[in-house]
Amino acid sequence: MIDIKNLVYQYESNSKYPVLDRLNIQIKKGEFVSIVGENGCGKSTLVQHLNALLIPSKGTVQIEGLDTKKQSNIWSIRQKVGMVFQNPQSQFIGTTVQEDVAFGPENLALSNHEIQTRVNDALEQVGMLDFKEYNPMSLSGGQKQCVAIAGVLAMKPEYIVLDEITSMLDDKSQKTISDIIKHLQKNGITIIYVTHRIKDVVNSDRIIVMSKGRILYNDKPQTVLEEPSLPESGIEIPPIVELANRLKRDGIIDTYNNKNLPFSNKELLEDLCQSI
Amino acid sequence: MSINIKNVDYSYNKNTQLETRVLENINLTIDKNEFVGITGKIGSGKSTLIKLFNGLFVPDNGYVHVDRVDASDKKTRKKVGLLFQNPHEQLFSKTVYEEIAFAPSNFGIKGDDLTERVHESLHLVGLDSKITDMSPFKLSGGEMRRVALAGVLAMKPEYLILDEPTSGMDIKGKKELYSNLKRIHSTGACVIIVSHQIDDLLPVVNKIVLMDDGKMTFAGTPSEYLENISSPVPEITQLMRGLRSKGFNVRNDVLTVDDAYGQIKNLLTKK
Repeated sequence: MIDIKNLVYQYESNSKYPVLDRLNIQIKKGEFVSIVGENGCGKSTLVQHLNALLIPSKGTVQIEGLDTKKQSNIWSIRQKVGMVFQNPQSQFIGTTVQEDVAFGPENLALSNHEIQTRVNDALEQVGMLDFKEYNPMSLSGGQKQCVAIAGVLAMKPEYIVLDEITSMLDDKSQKTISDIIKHLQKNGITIIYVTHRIKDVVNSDRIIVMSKGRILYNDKPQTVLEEPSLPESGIEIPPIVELANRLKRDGIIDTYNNKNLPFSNKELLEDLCQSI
Repeated sequence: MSINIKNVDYSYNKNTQLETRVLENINLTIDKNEFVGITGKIGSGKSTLIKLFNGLFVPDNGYVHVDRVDASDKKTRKKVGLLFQNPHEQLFSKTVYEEIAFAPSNFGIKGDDLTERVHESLHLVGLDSKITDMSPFKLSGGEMRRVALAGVLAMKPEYLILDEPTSGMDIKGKKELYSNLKRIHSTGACVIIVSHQIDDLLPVVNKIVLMDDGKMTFAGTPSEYLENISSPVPEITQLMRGLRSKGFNVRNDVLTVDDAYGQIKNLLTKK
């Protein structure tokens, strides 16, 4: 479990406003948690605390009981928590895809055989095994992100943080990434997904909405998306969800009896055909 | 005054085994007074196309002219401002001021004129003048992008081209950027945006160019686009077209939630 208690973070100790302001968050193993919020709300700063890239100014962050403040814990924490960022190419170091993915495991002093197995396994999971020999820089944006994810998977992390990894991608590559996430979650990996687009995260177990360094909402996607004041948080609400909310408020579509608010075009169309 | 693209072909790794054709027989005219959106899937050739506009790439066949001068001529560099996809990776200065002042000062602008340009550009992208002394690397991702845009604007380009400018931006940033771009367009500059988000483009531009697998498959006004193209269209448009195909009397060019909501309400009152 990830346990964040009263986390405060300030870039400079004398700055008036903290970037993160007294955050309390628990993330259970196996959960798929999304963190959303407008640019500058502190979401990336928050997740950089999860593998000790940043250390709290006040409060604590514990990964499986390991405090990130303690220098001796950092190596184990970084093995447990893998990170993928927005621009995969700035993370690449290998001249071929397989070399790049092997970099992490090579540093774990594993046998060659084990490294090879891990690399193949990781590339297989993201559907990039056929691209083993390619130069990662020659791949498309979506493929690069898949390779970056494989690089993290090869470390066999328990938690994966994905920070705005799809903001450069088109809908098709985004779908590929969503499928990969579903697959990882099935394998028991905890997913922490940072984005400013709520559209990408309707499938998560929980959405944390941040604004100005604080938590606005921390609940199931259904509950969060029906919050009337959600637009004020500055996150982009998919037009279909906005329309569905308005139609629901007017009683035109019915979402009682545990029926969910329609998230997709297809769902809303079905609902509308029934109710009109 | 216009950008003229005539019979343009372009391949990567020309005359090698890895030769890949990325643009095929492109013919397009962009007038100085236009606000253009270029859309298409990733890999359709849209980013390659715009790199021909300021001579970064030179066509294998055909030509690209900017105001009747070949785009590879150095004279066009000042006229055509290009902002790349990950502009924050281009930042390199110690302060925001130096960053934005870099290009105009290279063209000999100095003193008060330079300061004025820096502040004007910051204003156009919706950033506070107070940040001029800050390091650009201390800003958030979205703010860094805006600083990079201000750096291009400081050149006062006649043609401003932006490659996926809203990726990674939140809704507020996006709205601000588009309203800033409208403002820049109204000052007489031509604005060309490359984006795979058709939802964002249709309401603001007056010409849409659709690229597919290296070919230009459509160029025309947004209303012509909605008349002729079935995909890609915004989700709301898709939804309303779905209703239409089920026999409901709604329009096929609905773009906004308000419009869709009104049309659905209308159906119910008529019933």
